[in-house]
Amino acid sequence: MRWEPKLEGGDRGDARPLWQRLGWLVLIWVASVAALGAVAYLLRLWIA
Amino acid sequence: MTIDATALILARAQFAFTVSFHFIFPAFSIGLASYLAVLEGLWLKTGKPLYLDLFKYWLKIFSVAFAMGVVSGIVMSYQFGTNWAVFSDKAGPVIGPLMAYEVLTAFFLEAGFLGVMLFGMNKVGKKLHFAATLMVALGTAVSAFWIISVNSWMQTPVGYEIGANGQFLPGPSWWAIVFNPSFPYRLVHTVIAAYLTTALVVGGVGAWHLLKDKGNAHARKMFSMAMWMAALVAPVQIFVGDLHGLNTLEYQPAKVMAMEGHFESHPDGAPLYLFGIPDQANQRLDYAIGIPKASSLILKHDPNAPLAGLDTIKRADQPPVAIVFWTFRIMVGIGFAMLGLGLWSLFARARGRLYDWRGLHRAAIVMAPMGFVAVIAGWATTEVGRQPFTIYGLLRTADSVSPLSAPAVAVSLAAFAIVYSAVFGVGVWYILRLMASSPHTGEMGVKRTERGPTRTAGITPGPAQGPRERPIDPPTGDA
Repeated sequence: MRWEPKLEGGDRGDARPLWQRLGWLVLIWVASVAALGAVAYLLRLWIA
Repeated sequence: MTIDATALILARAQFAFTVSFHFIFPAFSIGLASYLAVLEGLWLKTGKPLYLDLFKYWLKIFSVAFAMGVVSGIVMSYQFGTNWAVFSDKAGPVIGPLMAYEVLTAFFLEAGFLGVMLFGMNKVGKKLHFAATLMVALGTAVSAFWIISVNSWMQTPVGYEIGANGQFLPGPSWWAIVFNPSFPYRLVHTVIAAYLTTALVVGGVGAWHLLKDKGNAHARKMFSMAMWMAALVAPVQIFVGDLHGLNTLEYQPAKVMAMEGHFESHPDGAPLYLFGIPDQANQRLDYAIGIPKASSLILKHDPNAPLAGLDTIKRADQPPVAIVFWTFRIMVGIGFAMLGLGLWSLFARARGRLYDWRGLHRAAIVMAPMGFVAVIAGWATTEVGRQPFTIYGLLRTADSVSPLSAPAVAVSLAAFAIVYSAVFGVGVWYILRLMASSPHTGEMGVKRTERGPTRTAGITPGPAQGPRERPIDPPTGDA
């Protein structure tokens, strides 16, 4: 089984209004940082 | 406080193990992030799907390498507190803020925008997606800036004051700390090494697929781009490495003496030893093969210039010579092999044989992992050459370690070895598996509108539409 990044739909994204695109950008960014934060916290629990 | 010598050795071994493991991944992802930015920029500029296919292909590999780099890096930062608590306490006021910037960069630029790269195309559109890719590439560079600044300060400490409690405190200017004397050289040398490491991997993967199908347009493109990088940047790296060496001679002469194998001083020009067996106990280089006066010529630009040897350094302040001597030669040897590969590719390109010279492709495959070997060897040269100090000339390694017992460090070292081998073994295996499959038109997740002409009903067969179909772009002559 292979995991694949989603790179389709660039045109669909471009069709969205700017505020929506920026909103999605911020949302995905926050979720990504939070995910890494969770990983860091788990590692801290393991090591400490 | 009594330091257990065995615990000290084990703590050093643990740090060497984890940092060597960690360094492999940023050495790859720094260059790959920039390569991805170039690929996406070329796709947006030219509209050629081939670039998007390559972007997708390498993005998957980048994601896995990045994840392993971040996870192993987080472990590194915690290890400062567990095994090197005395060092962290003494140097924390100076290196703490710089390391915090590095971590913040990794979190907020690299990891944050990587999510947008992976999942955001249909949400944010192409231009914002490209902006996210640029942020990840910028993040890897800024992250390298901060962590190399920390390391360089430990090699050439300036701009500090010693507090009443013995702590290193920042002096009046942070600029002096950040831009310490060895930092610019080490930063440029390390970042170029990362770019070359990536180029060799990309070139090796391209060569692998060219050996199987020399008409593979994707393999041709990545091989051509990688060989341009090797041909143009390897000479620059050798030049920068020379400058870095001259800087080291000025600020850390004992390290250069160990690199050169100069146990004795040479008042009338020092030889460049190509080979030898360092015997530190007896302070001599056995079976030495050298070029007379060449070391003075390289280091002082005068064949008769005097060069001091390790006989001018107290035994207790000498680094382990054999490790420094050999890792330095491995790094330099691979650097010249990179240059040779680049020149060979230029020759092949000039003769129009870049894509069908099987010997060149085999050489590129052999060289594919050599960038990693070179960066690890170079890192060992600079880090072991700094011994026996953590903060050069000021704080000894033996005075930096936590008051731990040897069994405690041994158990954690064994745990690291087991967990790292399992987790990162799987990750590396997955990356190799991704590389073994050829990049192709219509990489999964990339929708195509240009599938070839619409066929009328009849018996004329259309082009294959499966995931391994031939590329829609004609093979290009070069990059």
